[in-house]
Amino acid sequence: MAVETVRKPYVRQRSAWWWTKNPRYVLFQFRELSSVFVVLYAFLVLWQLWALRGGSDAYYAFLVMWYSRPMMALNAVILAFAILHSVTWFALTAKVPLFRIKGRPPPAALVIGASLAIWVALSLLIVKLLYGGF
Amino acid sequence: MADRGTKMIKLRISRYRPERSGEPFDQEFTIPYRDDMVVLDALNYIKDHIDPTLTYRWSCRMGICGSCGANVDGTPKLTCALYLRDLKKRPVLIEPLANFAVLKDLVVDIEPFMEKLEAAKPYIIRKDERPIERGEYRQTPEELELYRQQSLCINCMLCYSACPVYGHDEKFLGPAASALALRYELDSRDQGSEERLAAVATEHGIWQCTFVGECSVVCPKHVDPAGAIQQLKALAATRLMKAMLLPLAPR
Ligand code: SF4
Ligand code: FES
Repeated sequence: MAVETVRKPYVRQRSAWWWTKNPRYVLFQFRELSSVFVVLYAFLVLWQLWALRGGSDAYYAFLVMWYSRPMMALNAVILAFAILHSVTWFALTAKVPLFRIKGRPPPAALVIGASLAIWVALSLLIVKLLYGGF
Repeated sequence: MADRGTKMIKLRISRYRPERSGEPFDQEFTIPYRDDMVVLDALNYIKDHIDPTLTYRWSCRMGICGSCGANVDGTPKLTCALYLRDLKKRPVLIEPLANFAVLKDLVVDIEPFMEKLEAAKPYIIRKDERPIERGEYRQTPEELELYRQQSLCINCMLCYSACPVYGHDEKFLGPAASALALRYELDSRDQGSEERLAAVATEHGIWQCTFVGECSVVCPKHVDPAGAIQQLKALAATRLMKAMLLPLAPR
């Protein structure tokens, strides 16, 4: 016997503002957004190389622009996003137990702490190589 | 029933009645409540005393069958494991799990989820199938411990409801199915790693995950599906590297 069905699955539309409903979604969106700023920085470096190629006058003009207030502000924003991206990325490392201590994955805090420490140490080393002293 | 002095609580429940309304609508109920009531108790009260047509799923009322999930105040929860006293907002908003089509009131279509589970090949695959007479494949407690966490999943789908990537694209394999794949990857009796990884390490498989991490936050069984996906990514990536660097080595 054919049974009449009233099955009508209703598909809800997701609001464009879904990510504002939960602070963790907001953080995620900012992390995704950080990639835009990282790409932007890559373009700034290319621009710098381009200016260098144009001779000393062109490079001097570039440096004047580079140290202007708006440029410094932009760089500060880029730095903030780069740090957000790196820190959240390192928080991820603990999720992948690549080795085991006495049959157990190492504690998350240890893995995250160690990765962050290595990251900071390497960054400082690069700063030292570039600018010397300390 | 509602004597004087009884505490009352107001709930706003999303209703959808395919045979009548075209769109879901909200309906408010005010019911007496005690501090020891969970959200599911409130739904049962309404069904028993106010509106028998209210439709929702539940079975065990002890956090093990995984059928009573709903979005409560916007967060996916097991309604049998959530005390009303712990909810701050009034009215309490109860909606069907997000990211799934609604069939009726709080009941969603779980078919897409079942397909994902199947796609993860959630069974032991053997290359050398032993004859029955030789008995079971044995395992030490340590070997069991390796995949115990992922084996605790109760298929409640809260993680899919919390996942914005799945909300954006329902082709995504999603959290629980990935965790299930890892559960068999880590099982010492399994020999189907290559086959299973090939099935899940795809564009709409684990690689679509952008690590929002909310699945692991809402999971009532601490399965940590977000962690499972990252482990699968690491497994798939190292497998690929080995294949490229050591083409002749056994895998
Ligand atoms: S992984 Fe957790 S949230 Fe997802 S279905 Fe399994 S038990 Fe539920
Ligand atoms: S009723 Fe079984 S998990 Fe809630």
